[in-house]
Amino acid sequence: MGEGATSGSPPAVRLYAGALRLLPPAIRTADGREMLLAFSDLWQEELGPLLRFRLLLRSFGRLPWVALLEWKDHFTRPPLRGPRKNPWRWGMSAWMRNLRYALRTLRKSPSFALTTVLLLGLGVGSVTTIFTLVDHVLLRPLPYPSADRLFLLENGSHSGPMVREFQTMSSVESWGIAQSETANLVGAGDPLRIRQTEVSRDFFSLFGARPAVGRLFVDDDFRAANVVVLDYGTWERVFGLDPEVVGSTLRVDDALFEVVGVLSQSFVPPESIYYGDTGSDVWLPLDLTKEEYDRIGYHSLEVVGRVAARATLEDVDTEMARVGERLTQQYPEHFLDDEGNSRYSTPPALLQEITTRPVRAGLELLLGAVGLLLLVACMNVAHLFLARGLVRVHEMAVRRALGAETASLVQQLTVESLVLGAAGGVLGLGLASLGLSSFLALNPDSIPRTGNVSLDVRAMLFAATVSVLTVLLFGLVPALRSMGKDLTNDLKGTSRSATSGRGASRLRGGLVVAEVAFSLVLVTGAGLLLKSFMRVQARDPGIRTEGVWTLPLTPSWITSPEEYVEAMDRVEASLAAIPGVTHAAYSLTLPFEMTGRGRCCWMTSSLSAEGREREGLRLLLQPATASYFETLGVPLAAGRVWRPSEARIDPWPVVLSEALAVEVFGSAEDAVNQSMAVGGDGTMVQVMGVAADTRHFGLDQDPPLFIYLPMELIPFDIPMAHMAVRIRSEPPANWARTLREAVWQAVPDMPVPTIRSMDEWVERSTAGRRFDSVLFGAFGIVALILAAAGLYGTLLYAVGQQRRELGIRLALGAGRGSVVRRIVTRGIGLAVVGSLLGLAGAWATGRFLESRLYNLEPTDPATLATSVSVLLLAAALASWLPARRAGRTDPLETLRSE
Amino acid sequence: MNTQDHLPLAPRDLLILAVLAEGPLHGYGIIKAVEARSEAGVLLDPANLYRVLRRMRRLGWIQEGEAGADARRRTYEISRGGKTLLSAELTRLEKLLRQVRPAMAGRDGA
Repeated sequence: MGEGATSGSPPAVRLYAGALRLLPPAIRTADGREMLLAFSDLWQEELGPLLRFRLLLRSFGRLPWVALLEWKDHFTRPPLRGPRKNPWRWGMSAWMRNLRYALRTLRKSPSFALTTVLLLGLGVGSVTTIFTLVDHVLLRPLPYPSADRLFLLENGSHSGPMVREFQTMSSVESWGIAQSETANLVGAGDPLRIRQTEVSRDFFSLFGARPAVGRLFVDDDFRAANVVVLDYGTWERVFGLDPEVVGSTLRVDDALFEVVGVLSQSFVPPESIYYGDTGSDVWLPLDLTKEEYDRIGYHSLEVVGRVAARATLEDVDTEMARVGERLTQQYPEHFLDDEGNSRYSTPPALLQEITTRPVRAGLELLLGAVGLLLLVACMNVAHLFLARGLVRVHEMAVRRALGAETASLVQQLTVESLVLGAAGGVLGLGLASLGLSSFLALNPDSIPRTGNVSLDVRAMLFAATVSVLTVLLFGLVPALRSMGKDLTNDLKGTSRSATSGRGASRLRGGLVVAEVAFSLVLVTGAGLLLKSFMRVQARDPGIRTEGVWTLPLTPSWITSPEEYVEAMDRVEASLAAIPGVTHAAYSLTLPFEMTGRGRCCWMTSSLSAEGREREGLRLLLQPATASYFETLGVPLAAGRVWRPSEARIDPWPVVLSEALAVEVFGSAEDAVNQSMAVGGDGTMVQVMGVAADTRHFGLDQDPPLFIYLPMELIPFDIPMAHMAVRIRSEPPANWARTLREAVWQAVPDMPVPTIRSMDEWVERSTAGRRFDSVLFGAFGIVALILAAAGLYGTLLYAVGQQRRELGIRLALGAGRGSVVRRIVTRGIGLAVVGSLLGLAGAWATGRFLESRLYNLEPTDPATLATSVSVLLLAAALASWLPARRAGRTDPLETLRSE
Repeated sequence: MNTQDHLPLAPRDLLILAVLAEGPLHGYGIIKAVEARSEAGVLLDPANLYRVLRRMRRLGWIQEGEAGADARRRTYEISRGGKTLLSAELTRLEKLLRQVRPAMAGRDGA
């Protein structure tokens, strides 16, 4: 099919010429030109668009089927051919013949084929998984215009006067200012907990936000207009994408707002500058002329800026320091401490860096580790191929002696390598997608920007290319060795020339030692993390978690303590009245809600009892209703709980946690009926009872020192009431709905955001540890397999080389057992050296893990011993397989082939 | 070649043989002629046509013709075997028609 025939033809004809390439080459040579001419003529003749469309439809539509049939004929009925003139131009049928041959050959050595495929799959799979994550999280720019020039001021929020100074800076071209808090959206279906963010005029344009319907803010909105912009998610969930929402009125907490627009779906809010994600956002205009923004101490604004086109982040830093000097002169009492030193410090940092900083080191470490894994996997594969090449020297020699050309040997080995490479690649792809989905399932929160991760094609191509190159390169060794040399020795089966030098053998030994050491480090890490996880899991939470359900409520519209207690008591009663519910209670916080970073809420460190001041105690005040202890299943160690009727008496009736009672009064019994003064103002409290300790902030945290006191005494600036109910059996159908309706029966407009079982809270509190141990465990297993495979390949190679020597030894009367022992000893020897190095490595890297371990030294002897034995066991197995083969060597056969 | 082995012919094959029986044609000509003869009932596409032609040639029904007016195009003509096959098929069809036509006639008369 001449290419020239198509140039200058209509596009349809050129397209058809291209499509004809689907056909087997033989067919194209025979009839391709004719087909194209016929099509071209038909195209010229059919003038109407409909006729042409029909022509296209049938010509292109049927082509794939015809092509399929032709290829089928091609393989099932190979046409007879004359002797080939140029063996380097391999026809397809030769490839197919070789493919069949390769599959047959590989079937004959399944352990070699399986090991190779497994190694390649593991290498490709892990590199692809981790690179995909690293690329998404670290390398891709944030989805904002000129994202590389966006920066954030660290060290907290800023006040109005500061922001006004910032806005005069010449090295920054625009500023986005935001202030967010959570609020309740009512009047649109079920009441909803939302995050409302007040933003400045340039905020949306800074982040490239566009409206899906309606408009974003205009200048007039910033002068005390009650307007609101919704995010796409809220529009979808609450308003069902109804465009009529624009112009309607919403109630957020106690104010009414007119909806002017909805943000487009593609807008991702910049999480690092505000807090309290509720899954729903509304946006209000920020009115900087309000009185509170003239106060220098009113730090509430988050700012993001874009560096001006010709400036750098350093320029911003320099100019920021000058702004600081000006502000310090204006407000010395605010920015100077007692010694007259400036407290002003607002270093700018790139938004991209801040978003990814917490995980950067970890991910880069992982990427390095999997890169190493891929390298080791490829080296192992190379080894296996070399070992196999030794065995096949004889086969190659025979085939050449029978007249096979180098080209055809190369072709055959290429096909074999490609089959293995392709199988390894497919396995790797499967493992990568499995790995990625389990990675994301295990770790929904702690890694930023993982929302829309899919497998990275580039990473896969890279990893697949590396592995295919490896198999090609080393797969061809046997053919290349047999090229242009005297075949006599190979034919006789001796391998004098195949003995490699001492240097190469040392190199291989060194490789195995390194692999063993590397995998020991990983296996030890996995062991330590797993042991920590299990120890944490085994801790007693201090409460009976089964059957407990939680509903955190935030009645933010309430303005007085009396109203608060009255409303929440109604909710408590309504929940307690649900059939099947045995107890209901509420408190300021519930156990396991605030694990990890967050610490809540009401704390004091001063306490005096029995006439003595106690300093340095971290006391947590936990307002709760009297039924709290029964609902959560916290047993009382002594005394009793206050009765609801006693809630408002003076001194306050309180319950202490056991650790606090022991710390202050010596024992639980001694604490009952004692009185103490608590807090800066020395409020008197009376100890009614002592409750058992609870691990309120997580299984891996020490029980806090709690003072439980009646909910009625809550100071009113914390509008939280976290409800808990205990039920006798499994939750009935529509349980969440039942709970929500019970709340709304008592307080109609109350949002009920998350309903969770206490078991789920406990599980979430250990999710990080589980993730760590699974991740390390997975890599540990991969490394272990690689080390074992490396050992196996090396010994197999050695055994192959020493066949003659072994044969002679056996012929001279050496026992098979001693031959096997010699080889196993060599393997275990390498593993022992590797383990020693690995122990040193585990020792050195242990301190990186220290912060993640629980009651465990990074050098925990039991864990180290276990991982070493696992490794040595694997090494013994990996050595025994080639040794067994060596032991089976037939001395007669070996010697006869001399 | 035992003609009976290949009967009945597929309508498409029958049409191609029929148009070639009237004179040699190249690929484009066959497509147009079949389209016209079948009153646009059989529309061929180039790739499939040449697949069919290759098979007919292998079976010896058609052969390559001498270069016609347009030397660039390959023409096909019906072979002696093809003619035999075509007339055998026509005979078979006519016999079949003779056998079934009374039924139609009876309905026409009703």
